[in-house]
Amino acid sequence: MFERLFPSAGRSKLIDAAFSDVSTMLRQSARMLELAMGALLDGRPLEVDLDELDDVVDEGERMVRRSVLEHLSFNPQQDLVASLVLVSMVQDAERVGDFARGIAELVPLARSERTGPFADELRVAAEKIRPLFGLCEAAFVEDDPEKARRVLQTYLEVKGELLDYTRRVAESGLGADMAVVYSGAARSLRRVGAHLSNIASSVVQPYDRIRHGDEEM
Amino acid sequence: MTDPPGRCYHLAVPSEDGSPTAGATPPRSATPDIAPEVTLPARHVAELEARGGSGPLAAALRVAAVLALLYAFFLGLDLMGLSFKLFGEGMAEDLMTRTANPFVGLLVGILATSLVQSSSTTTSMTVALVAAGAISLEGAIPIIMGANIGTSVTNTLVSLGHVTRREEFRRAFAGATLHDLFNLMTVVVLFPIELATGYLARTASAFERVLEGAGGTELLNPLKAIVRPVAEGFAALTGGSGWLTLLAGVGLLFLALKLLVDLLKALLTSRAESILHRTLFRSALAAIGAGAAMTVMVQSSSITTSVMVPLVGAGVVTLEQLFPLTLGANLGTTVTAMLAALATGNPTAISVALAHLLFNLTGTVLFYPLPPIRKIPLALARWLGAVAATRRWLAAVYVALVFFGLPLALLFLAGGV
Repeated sequence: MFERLFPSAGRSKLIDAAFSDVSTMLRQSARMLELAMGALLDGRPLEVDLDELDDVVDEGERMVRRSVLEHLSFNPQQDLVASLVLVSMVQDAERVGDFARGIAELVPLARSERTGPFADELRVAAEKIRPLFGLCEAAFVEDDPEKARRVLQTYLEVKGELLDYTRRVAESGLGADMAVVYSGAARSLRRVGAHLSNIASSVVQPYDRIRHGDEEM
Repeated sequence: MTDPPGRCYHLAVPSEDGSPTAGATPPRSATPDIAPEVTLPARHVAELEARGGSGPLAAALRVAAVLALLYAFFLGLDLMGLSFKLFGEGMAEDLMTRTANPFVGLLVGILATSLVQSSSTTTSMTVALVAAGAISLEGAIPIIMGANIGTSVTNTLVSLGHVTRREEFRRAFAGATLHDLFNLMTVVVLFPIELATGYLARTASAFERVLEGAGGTELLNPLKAIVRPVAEGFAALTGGSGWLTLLAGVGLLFLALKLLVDLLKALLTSRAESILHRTLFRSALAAIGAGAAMTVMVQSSSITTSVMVPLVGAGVVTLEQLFPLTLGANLGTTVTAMLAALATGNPTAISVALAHLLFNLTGTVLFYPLPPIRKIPLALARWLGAVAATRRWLAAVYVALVFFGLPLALLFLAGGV
């Protein structure tokens, strides 16, 4: 009764903290992707251990789950949907880090320099994916449908381009090593975009249709 | 390329002496650094604050509501005390005789608390009856002990909500019965000691005299000036009926306490969540403090221990982490009886409240500091959880027997019914 008479001044602090944790996970994953792509395409040595950075992302997932459970134990009525969304989306945030790490694991497989049109196209795709991290974070934390739709739209475009790219790599005369590297990286970039798109979809979609495309697009 | 400015999370956070504290709550990352197109959600925070009732009027209403319910609580106490004056000495003597048997008092405490699911209600009523001269200090202490046992029925019932998932239920039931077992074991030890030596009664009375000497027992005396006229006015309206006044007092006390707990929970949940989140995984002392603080804030140990059941069931909190929080909740719940006692200003009533605190403190000191002794309730709780997980109907039997069936049967045998 009193929850209705005296509504709380804002969101639960634990839920706020959980959103902040998801932000941090996304930023960490963005950094991991930047480092991994730099190593893959530009040959830059990895000066940090991506496994350690991934540990931070995994810890973030654990913290989000714990915070949400603690909050729902106290007050299951307040921020219920936000809590469920967080638990659902934190998996996507965690997977982004895994795919970024996966790109770094392709580097030792490449026996040639990463130059030429296929490498350039991958760079362009990575440059399109990169700003999606910030947009997705802003959309999710600020509950901004416009930014969310931009993420969804951009992902749809990049997804089509990367699928076509993978087909052309398969049809090219590239050596097995470089074909695996380029197609693997393209797939990982596509999956990163997909998970960011999933997170953005939670802003514009009804709860039961999260991870599906925006119904208005 | 440099490392990110500080890791966002730490797997081991240094404690105050610099040694790592595994599993401690890690600090949060500060500000964004990687995605320059992101703006911090300051606007979002401001919108959230504007959306909810955070203005001065809303705050004033909240305070007024708490004060009104506190007033109703104290009025209920006073009405109960007044009713015995209206009854005359006969009723008080009769009740004193009935509660002279400590076993009866213990069982009444268990049953009454299990039924209303609030130790604060039972202890507050006991304080009121002591202040009215209807129960002696020696008669009240077993009731208080029984209230401690009875209050753990709530979290045990909450654990039954996990019954559909075996491993979750095993953990949840163990977590709930840890509270039961600690309270039962404390009574098993202190009840005979109390009968033989009057340890709690004597020590509490001594503390009361010290408190009285320091003027501490008169803190809430000004309350009487605003409560007593209303109580007497009501008694006059009933035509001096002791029964009507008693019923009104009991009803008002019960309702006021129930609503107060609901209101405080609604108002302070966020703060309580934060306290729990920050302190639970740090140290035993922090957890005891958190349990006590949360219970004082919401005026209910049942709420504090019940919210932990899903966390224990999910495996996020271990029994070892839960134990000190439970002890803290036991300590925190003594505040209500103390408030009630100070409101009466009656030295014996204040001694009862002090005895309640002393009972829980003694139990904590007996069962927590030494690891071999601490392991006893933990091991028993785990065993109970394992048994209940394999034969889940036993859990319902446990609740029915421990909190209702056995106390009622024994009460009948002891001639208390």
